[in-house]
Amino acid sequence: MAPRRIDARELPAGSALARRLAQIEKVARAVTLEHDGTPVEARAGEPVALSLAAAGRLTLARSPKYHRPRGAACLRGDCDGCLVRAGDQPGVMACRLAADSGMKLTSQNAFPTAGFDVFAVTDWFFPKHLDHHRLMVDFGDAVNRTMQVFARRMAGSGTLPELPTGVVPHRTRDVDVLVVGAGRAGLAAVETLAREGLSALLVDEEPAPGGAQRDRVDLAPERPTVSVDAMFDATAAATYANETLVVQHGAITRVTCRARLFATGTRDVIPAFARNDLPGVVTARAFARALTWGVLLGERVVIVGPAATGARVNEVLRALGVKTVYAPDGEVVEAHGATAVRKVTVREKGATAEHRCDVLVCADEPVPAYELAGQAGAGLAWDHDRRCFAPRSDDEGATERDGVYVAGTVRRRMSDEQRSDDGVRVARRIARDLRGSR
Amino acid sequence: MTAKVMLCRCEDVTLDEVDEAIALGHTDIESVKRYTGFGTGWCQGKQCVTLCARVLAERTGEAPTLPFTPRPPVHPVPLGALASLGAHGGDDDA
Repeated sequence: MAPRRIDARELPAGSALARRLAQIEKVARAVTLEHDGTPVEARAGEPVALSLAAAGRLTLARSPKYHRPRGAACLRGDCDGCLVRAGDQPGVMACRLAADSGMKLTSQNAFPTAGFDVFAVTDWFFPKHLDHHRLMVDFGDAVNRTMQVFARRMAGSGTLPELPTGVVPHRTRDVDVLVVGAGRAGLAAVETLAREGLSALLVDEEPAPGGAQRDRVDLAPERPTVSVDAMFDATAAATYANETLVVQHGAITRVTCRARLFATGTRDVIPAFARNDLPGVVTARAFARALTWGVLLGERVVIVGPAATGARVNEVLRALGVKTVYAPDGEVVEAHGATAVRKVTVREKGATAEHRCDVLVCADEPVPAYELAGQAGAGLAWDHDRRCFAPRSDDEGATERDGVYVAGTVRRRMSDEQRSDDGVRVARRIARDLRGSR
Repeated sequence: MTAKVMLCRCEDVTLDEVDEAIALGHTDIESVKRYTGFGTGWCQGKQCVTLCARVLAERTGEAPTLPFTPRPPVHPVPLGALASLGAHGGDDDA
């Protein structure tokens, strides 16, 4: 029982996912990567984290204090699970790295390897927690210094490149509106802004537009057209005053603008339960994303949580003949396993049951990706229903900071259509505000 | 591995540790962050702020205080790229 690749013929003919996979298979080019010295077969262009998962390599690193095994959990650049050294670059997210021929990947922070790490003994030595802050201050200067050296050795984030990489020159851009997020809301917004005669720059971390739709196993592949200036594979990494730093392929573009619109959507969260950090514990969207690349992360799958992605994944798995346990109203009590999940305890409707599995899919409702809006100065508020923070905005997406707007699911839960409508609504408000300020 | 409940994966901060912080009187997000170090790792709070805020809400019975400002960069940025923002790096410098 291990992760494996699936192909379009295993799925009902004509189904959305079958069509997606057929499209990938048509252009697939086999390449060979190297992970910790072992050759790994991959498809050019797919996320390296999935190439490794498909080869059964789920454990990619070790955690800083306890050296617990770490594996890809979100596959969307939101966690620490898949950090690798790629070539001589440490701390590269393997989920955001496109596989290419001859890539050399090494696991980080593990002695000797991520699969077997002697320092994992710390995990057993400190079964509840290790309060390194107190250990450092309570026992005087000498102990403190020793602990510092020890901590640095234990908790590295990879080894630095042997040679300096040199300075990569930056570019500058000036536009009326910077739109971050090329999902439904962001795409609708940039179209509206163009019609209103405003210049806009659209930025998204993914290699293509589509946002949350890109991970939908129930939708046929589509590639929305973008008529405005856009940067993909590009992260809006920092935003302050009137400037936003966009990082694309290791180079920075300084974007100045009159208004910033954050249509950053949502993130997935793995809830709190015992061993929630085991490799093989993934979010529903991570599991769905793997499927859209033709990678099945496990053969015995437990899906827990109410999010729609969980139900969609379950449907695909049944069609594939994969054994699933689906508990939309359940909650995970505990995951079990030494270096990967092997069993999970689930409580549902008052009853507790144990299920053997090799993947646990956490289908919790996603939470707003408020980070950039918050950094830009938008106020935040606690959402009592969803139990998460969300940016505060008025009906038209204006936040309490002038020139900072939010649209789409970063504001609240919305249907697909509502997301587009919201993008249009907020873009019109921006146009009105900018005309007024001229 | 042991049955820890990990609230902050990047910095290995457990539920037990956050509970200890709360017991010592740290009942706002900023103080819990300073005591435990949660939210200071690779993800800069993308995973852990929600989880810690939920624990605080449960333990105190009140809406949690607002979170700390998410620090840049949103994703790690190579130092070579940042270096160009200095005096002589960019194409816009006179």
